[in-house]
Amino acid sequence: MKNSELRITNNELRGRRTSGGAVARRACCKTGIVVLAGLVAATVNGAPPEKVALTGGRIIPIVGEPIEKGTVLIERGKIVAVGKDVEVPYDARVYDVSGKVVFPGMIVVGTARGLDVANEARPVVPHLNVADAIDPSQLYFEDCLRLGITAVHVIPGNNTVIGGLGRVVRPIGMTVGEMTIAEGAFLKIAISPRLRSDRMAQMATLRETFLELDDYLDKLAEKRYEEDLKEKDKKIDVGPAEARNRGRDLIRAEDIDDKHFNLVRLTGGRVRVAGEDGPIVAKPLGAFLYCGSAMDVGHAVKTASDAGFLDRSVFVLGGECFKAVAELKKAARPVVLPPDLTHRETDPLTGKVRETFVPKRIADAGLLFALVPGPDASLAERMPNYQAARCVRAGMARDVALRAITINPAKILGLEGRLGSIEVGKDAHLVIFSGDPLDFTSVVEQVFIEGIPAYERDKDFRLKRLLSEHDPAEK
Amino acid sequence: MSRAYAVRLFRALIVCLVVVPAEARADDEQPAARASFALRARVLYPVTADQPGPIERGMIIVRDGKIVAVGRDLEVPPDLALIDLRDATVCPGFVSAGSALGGRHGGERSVSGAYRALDFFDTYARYDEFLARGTTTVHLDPGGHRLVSGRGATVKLAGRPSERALEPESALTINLGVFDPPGVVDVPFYASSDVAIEPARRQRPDSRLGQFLELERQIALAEAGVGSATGMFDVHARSFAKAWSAKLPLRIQVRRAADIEGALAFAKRHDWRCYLIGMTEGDELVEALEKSGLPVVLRLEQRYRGADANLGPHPDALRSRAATAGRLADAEGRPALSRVALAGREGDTREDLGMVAALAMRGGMPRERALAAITRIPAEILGVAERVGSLAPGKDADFLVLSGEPLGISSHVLQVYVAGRRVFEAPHTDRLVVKAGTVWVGDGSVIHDGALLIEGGKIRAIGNRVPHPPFARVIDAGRHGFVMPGFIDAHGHLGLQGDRTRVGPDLPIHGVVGVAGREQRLVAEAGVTTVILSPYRVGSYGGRMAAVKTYGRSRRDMLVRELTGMKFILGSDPLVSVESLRKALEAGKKYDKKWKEYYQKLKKWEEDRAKGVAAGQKPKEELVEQEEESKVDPITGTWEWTVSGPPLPEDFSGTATLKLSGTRIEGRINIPQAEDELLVEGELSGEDVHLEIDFETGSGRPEIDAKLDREDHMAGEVKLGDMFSVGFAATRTDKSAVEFKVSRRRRRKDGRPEPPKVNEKLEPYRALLAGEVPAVVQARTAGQIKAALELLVDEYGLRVVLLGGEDSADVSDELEKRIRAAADGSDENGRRGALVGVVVPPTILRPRDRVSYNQAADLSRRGIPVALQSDAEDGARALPLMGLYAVQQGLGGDAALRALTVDAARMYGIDDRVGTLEVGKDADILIYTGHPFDAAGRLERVIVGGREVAELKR
Repeated sequence: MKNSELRITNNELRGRRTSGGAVARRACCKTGIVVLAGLVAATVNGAPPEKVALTGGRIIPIVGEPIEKGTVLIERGKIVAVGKDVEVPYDARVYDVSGKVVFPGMIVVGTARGLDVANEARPVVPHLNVADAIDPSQLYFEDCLRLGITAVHVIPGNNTVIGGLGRVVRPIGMTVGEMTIAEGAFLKIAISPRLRSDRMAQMATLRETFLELDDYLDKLAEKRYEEDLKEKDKKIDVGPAEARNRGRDLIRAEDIDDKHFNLVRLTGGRVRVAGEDGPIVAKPLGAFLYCGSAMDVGHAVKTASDAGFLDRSVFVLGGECFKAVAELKKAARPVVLPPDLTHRETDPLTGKVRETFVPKRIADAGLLFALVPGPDASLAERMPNYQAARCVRAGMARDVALRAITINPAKILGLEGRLGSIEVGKDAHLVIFSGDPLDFTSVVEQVFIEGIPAYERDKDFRLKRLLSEHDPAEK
Repeated sequence: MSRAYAVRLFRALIVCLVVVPAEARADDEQPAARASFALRARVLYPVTADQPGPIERGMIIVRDGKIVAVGRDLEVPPDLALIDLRDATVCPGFVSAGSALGGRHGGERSVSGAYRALDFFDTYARYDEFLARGTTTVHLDPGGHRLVSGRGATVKLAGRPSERALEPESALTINLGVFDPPGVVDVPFYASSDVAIEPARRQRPDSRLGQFLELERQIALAEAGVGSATGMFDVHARSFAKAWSAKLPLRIQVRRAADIEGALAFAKRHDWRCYLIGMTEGDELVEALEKSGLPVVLRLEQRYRGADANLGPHPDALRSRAATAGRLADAEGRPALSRVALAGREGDTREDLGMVAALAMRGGMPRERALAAITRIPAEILGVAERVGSLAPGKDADFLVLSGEPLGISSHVLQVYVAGRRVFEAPHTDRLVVKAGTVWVGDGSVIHDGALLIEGGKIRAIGNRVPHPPFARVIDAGRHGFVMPGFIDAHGHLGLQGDRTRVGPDLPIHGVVGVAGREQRLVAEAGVTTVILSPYRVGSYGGRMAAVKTYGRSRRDMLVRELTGMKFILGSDPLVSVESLRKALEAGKKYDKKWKEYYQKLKKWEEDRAKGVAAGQKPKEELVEQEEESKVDPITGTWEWTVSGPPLPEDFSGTATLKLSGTRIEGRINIPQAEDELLVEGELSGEDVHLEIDFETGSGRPEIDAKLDREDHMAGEVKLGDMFSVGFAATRTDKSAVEFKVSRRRRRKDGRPEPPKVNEKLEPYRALLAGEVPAVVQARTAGQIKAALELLVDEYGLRVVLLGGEDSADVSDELEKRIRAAADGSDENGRRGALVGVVVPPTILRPRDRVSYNQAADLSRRGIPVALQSDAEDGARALPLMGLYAVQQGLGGDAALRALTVDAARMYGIDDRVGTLEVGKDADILIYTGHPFDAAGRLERVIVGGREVAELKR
């Protein structure tokens, strides 16, 4: 992997303009080859229409009560009016969605889908950015539209120690740049061991990473002090310890190498030398902490609070993590639930199987949580609304379940000002369901992303093939 | 009569519904859920240095998870509940200093302090399999595969997740005799032509020579405060230096004698807190070890789950010796090393410390030391002795509740407490082992130091060493314990509640059995486990007797046999009463004959059919269709009928078409509620019409009994067994002959014989005449006795039990003769036609010829089997005392035991279930201290059907 490819975000952050041309060209080539289908190509290109009005539908805004026969007015990709008595301007493109349901675009709070591979081979790669690996031509994104998902937080997978920076994208666009909704604000950190590794090695590597960062910054401060003296044509006059103290404030963002830059951001963007805080040189990052089992939660909390990023952490939970609910409650951070909502455990002595419905335990603890779709192989569980429906079926309040697939993920990603509900001022990410989103028989009829009609079921070529409107034997 | 019984049945049902769940609740709810309690065990092993041995009936008092007092006869604070474990042994949870639970880290560095075993530990997991083996505390090791593999930890295997780590960093693990670590590859960040990827760097040690060299080099670096040799950032060297300078204790794993010597020299050089673990060849260096004073964790490497590993031809192959443990613990009779702990084989993920201790004892380690070596000593070595490893005030309430002594090979862990909370409970089983100094089997033999295994309410094994299945409970009655079968009351009325109605043989007396109520409980607590339930008074046809238990959860548990005898009462005039008895027997015999004939026919038919099948003819079952003409008669025609009266809410009516042929009536009846017509059939005798409707209700078929009270009209009632009867009236509306077809399934063309009709009154006579159950004849005088025996034994060939037989002394010679004849097997069936015993009257001692007379003792001495009866309801609880009194008055102790158990069971033919302690019999067991019929014999416990009658009130 070349240096320049790695730097997209870092460069942007630092305000340095270097050519990202190579990347863009490559991305274009790729997209050019693959057909993103007549599905999106026709509609996605170009600016969003000036004014769009969706009239007559039942609006479930998530924030606030549902509105019967309401209108959503969109202007330049933003929602400008929601309600029963909204006047539709003469020049608006009107979609009559009477009898249908207008729902906010659903958000996948974290997935490695959309990447060509989920993880790097090496364990500690905080300098990597998924922007380099998102493949806009993946069918996954097309599927997202079909399922009513309008924002995906793509982040490296769990087979890592520190896995790299994520990014929030919309499932339309020919390049990563076009797709991007927001730059990544989270690094992936796995507390559960990688494949063919073990917890002792995993934790030792994690601790080593932060210890090495301290060591690096110490040495960097020393070096900066020496450089500074050299500029001023002075001789080295103090020992290393004092040099570090003096060099601490001299460290600039560009002095920090790629390997450590995101780690510095993770620990708060602040330079810390010889145990004392220096200047803030970069925007802080948070972390998606993957905890595969309950025992990992304690380690995750400790790692995050020791390195100072607990208040920017999100816990990505495995099946049995509900057992650590007391620890999670104490940490009071948002959690991402496991895709398999039911946890099963077999007693080794009696062989009895115990089942636990995980979302109930998490919801009862009062934690902010998001539901994620299951594996693609599962026809039902890959739909976020199905996951929410299962929660309702298991006794959760309807609005709690619906929030877990819309506004909660938006909050977790820090995008609640733009996504997650139908409110004036937000981006117009809307899904038109044929009926109630929690109804088994409802289907996604239309999807609007920032006002762009991104998906129409009638024009879904692959779906038609699937539903065999023409006989495959004919050909 | 029947109503009274029905009411009783209903009551029993209510008791069943109410009492049983309450009992079940009592079982579930235990005070142990709280972390403050007092507990008393059968034996308590504190395993402290001052009190290594057991305390009988020892107690511990626990407050908020900590032990506050240990001892005998402690006063229970008023706010604490007392858990009394009268069968269980309590000892500290086992401490494993060599567990393989940690696993090994995947790093490649030969010397590293960066790996923490605690990272590996799942604080939320349930370690039930470890707890079931008694291990509550383990040392986690970062691995035995590198020279310095990291930092170990000591943890508890249960309890609150946040409280499980006892010592997060307990030692730095050094492994001697581990060579050839893999090479280290440092991949540079952005390798390029300037920054090359170096080939893998080799590490030491690659032989025994290099291991101390490498160790000393790292220590020198650590002590110089450098942290690494190259000046590069090296987390492994740094963390080793940190651990070293923090003076973390050293855990040195050694196996070979050479390494042990090296380790001793190293320990001496650095004068560090350290202990040795492994020590397979430790017996070669006992003196050097003794001098060093280092504590030792001995791994017993012997395999026992399968064959041991082949050593191969190498002469120096490491061989574990059973005697190592003994030699380390005991050098020529004096303690060699003061601190030797035991651990299982290296890498044994199913380490069983109980088994390890057994191996050590077989190698010569004294029992007391072996127990300390898996509890207190390892806790001391691991530096957690102030919390775990022994039971003493101030320590954590971590202990095991075992079914037997801690190092007993058949003991099982039943419960585990950690920090005063019950964290493990063995899966519930119905298996129970009863041990005692004396087991009185009942067949004449006695087993000393015997035991019984009970499973599913039955005795499964009996002997000196019986199987102890996993998690079986054990009741150890001790050396003075006397175990015997439960007492049998040979004639009682438990549960009849004073109902002295004269009953007939159709009354199923076992119907009063529901579930054990208060009365039954009183009797059971006295040790009477089976009662031969009899009616107080019977008619001339006699009455049924049933064998029932006095304790059980359901009717099924409690019922031994529905019919276990027929009770007859001879009137004062033997001639008259014998005649009426003969009449009853004749009727019974006739009835029995009908059935016998039927069975003969059936057998023949089946044989024929089998032959037919062999010849290829398929047995046919066809409907016979009959078509008959009819003529005018009092019945034939169409009838309109009405049914009325309570409990029907309103009258309803319908029609019926009947046809008379001879005296048989056939036809069909229309019932408005039923969709189809139903077939009816019956008989006309004179003016009485009896009809049966072909409709199975589950309680028999509805019957119509009516009388032709005038022409074209009949009146009577419709009955459904005894349950239901309503008024019935019908009028003939049409006399014309009606053509109809009759389809019947009953008379089959294949010729299967029809069974005779069941007559409940005579039904018990079939079993009686077959010799399956005895005739129990209440006879007083010599004349009555003689007449009864002549009639029943000689004439009808019945088995006879004399009930009462007050004047039996007058005919004792004859009785003796008859008993002997039966015993000689003069009759070819052995059991048929014999006097089988005498149930003596409830008054043990009564005047006879103006002197006191003990009938039981008298008859027993003559070799006539006797049984004792209460002739009472819950008064039967005095039966054991009656036995005691009889013994005092001359009946032998053994004879009294037999009379109350096996002899009574044999008389009634229930000896296949009760009366003796043999494999396959019901587990009705009494546990006495001393002989039951010694003056001081004390009934300790009663077990009925494998379930203990809850603690006896004494």
